[in-house]
Amino acid sequence: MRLSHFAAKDTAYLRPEPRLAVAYRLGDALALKASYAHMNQYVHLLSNTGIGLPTDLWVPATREVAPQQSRQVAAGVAKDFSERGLALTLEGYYKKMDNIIGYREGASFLLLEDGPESAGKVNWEDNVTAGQGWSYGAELLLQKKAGRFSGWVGYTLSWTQLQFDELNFGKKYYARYDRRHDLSLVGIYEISPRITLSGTWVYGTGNALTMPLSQYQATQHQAGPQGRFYYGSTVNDYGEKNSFRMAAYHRMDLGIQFHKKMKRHERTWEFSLYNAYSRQNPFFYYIDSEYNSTTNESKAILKQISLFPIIPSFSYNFKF
Amino acid sequence: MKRFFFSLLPLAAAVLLGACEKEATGIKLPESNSKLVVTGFISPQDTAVNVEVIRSTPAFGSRSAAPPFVSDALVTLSDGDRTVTLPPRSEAGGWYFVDTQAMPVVAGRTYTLRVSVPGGELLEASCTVPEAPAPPAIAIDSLSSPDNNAQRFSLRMSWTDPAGQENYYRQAAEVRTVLTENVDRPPPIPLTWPVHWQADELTDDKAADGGMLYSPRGTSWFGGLSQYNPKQYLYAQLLHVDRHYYLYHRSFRNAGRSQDNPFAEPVLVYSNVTGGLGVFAAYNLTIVETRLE
Repeated sequence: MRLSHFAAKDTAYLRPEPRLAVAYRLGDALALKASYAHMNQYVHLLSNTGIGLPTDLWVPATREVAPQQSRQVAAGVAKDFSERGLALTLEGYYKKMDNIIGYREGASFLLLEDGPESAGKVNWEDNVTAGQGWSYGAELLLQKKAGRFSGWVGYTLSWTQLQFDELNFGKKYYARYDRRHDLSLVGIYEISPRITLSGTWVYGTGNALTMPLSQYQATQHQAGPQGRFYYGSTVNDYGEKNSFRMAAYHRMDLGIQFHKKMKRHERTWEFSLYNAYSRQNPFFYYIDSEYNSTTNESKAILKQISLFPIIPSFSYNFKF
Repeated sequence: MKRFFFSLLPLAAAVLLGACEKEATGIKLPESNSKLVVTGFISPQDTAVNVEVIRSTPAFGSRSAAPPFVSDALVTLSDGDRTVTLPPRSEAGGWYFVDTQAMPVVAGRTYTLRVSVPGGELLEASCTVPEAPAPPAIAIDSLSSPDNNAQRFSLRMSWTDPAGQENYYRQAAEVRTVLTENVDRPPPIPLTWPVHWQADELTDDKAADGGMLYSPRGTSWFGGLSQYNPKQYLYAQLLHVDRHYYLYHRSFRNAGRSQDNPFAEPVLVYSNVTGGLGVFAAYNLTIVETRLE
């Protein structure tokens, strides 16, 4: 049992956090385990859902914005294959989250049209709304700890959905960081006691975003004693919230380490390549327009901005 | 040589670390088909049912400058007992209408709108006309007399909400008078002043089901200029709107503020149209007239 306390301006939260973890061994090489955890989080992650520059903000719990709560159950099995130096873990989990927050539709903390001085007028609590979430999935981890070749394979299959009464017309939608597949491969090979090779490859499903599908002139009814009057404004059709997926993220990192034991210390020279095949993972997207004066047509295209192509690095470490 | 090497470092860093911009790849872009957009609001107080049919422009791919009006749609309206076809209005592209003598709009009745086009698209939407709201009470407070003896005033409407059901409302008001002297045109000339509401014109009854509901405060003025007819009236409307009307118009509440701001959250526009976009919604209203003195 854990007791957590958080004091914000004009309010304080005192929340018990019961947790239970049990394990049952079936012989030397097999174990079953299960856990339950009730947790509170006093800072909220606030993520935008548009295609523009990602702006993740961490905001505290306040009197108006209650702490985030979650209840998680997990169950798994662990097995050792000692003759091969392998260890396998398989685990499933289900997590229910309450009092999570999201931006209201149309909200922004950057009011460009009013200038920087308007920032002081923005009350972030007015720009957010509270809802609930569900996250569930399975994780697999296969580790090799012994021998000249070591490393692990980790794979997670997961779903994360959110529901806010005031967003997406109350319907569930996938969170920005809903990641269906997450894979990491890590290998370390000891060529000799003085030289080690290492490699990592990571893969993750792209983030879920809200992308415009089309534009139209939305006609609205104008109430008034003068009678019926219609007016229109140009709006985007986005379909469902967060129904667009960014391109998958993947990257390979390679490294070679040269170790040498000196008289009083051990030094390591390392040469590594971050993003070895220079994958252009999108950081954010924007819509650009190209006009063809011959056909009198404009063409909208989606462009991506990527950061960090291949980056070589050298490092020197010593232990004493 | 060493100096040359160090002078190249910023250039190398810029090349290696600089952001890369290119056309997006490795993703499934939304289909570039445009969608039909159907919009119609029906009310027992209207003399005609008007429906607009247009096409949306795909967000990606080529965009032509052709107008988005759809003039070859087959638009029908049904109340369960009878079905009428709405012919296109010749003077306005994309609009279809039928007189309410051919299809009366009655409170409590459900109407279904169907729209089809030669390409094969079929859209459908239904709405039920709400009952007329109870006449609202209007409280008027005098605020100030800025000039020429004109009076600024504020008003608030209140009404009783029927219990046990979801209700949605919208209010509107204006000041009416008659100009009795004018140099350009012969009098009398009717004039109106709008009422500006300090908050959203749309209200629901979630906080006070079955109780008293209040509009936000509205402000306007009525003038003491000599050429105005001394009889000035406040015409106020209370609209009992259906859920589709409420959700559709609420979509636009924040749209104006977020327009052209790339950091703003996308605003999703509500639709109850199966197979397309837009809305088919209903309202019923009560008018209250008060003399301003």
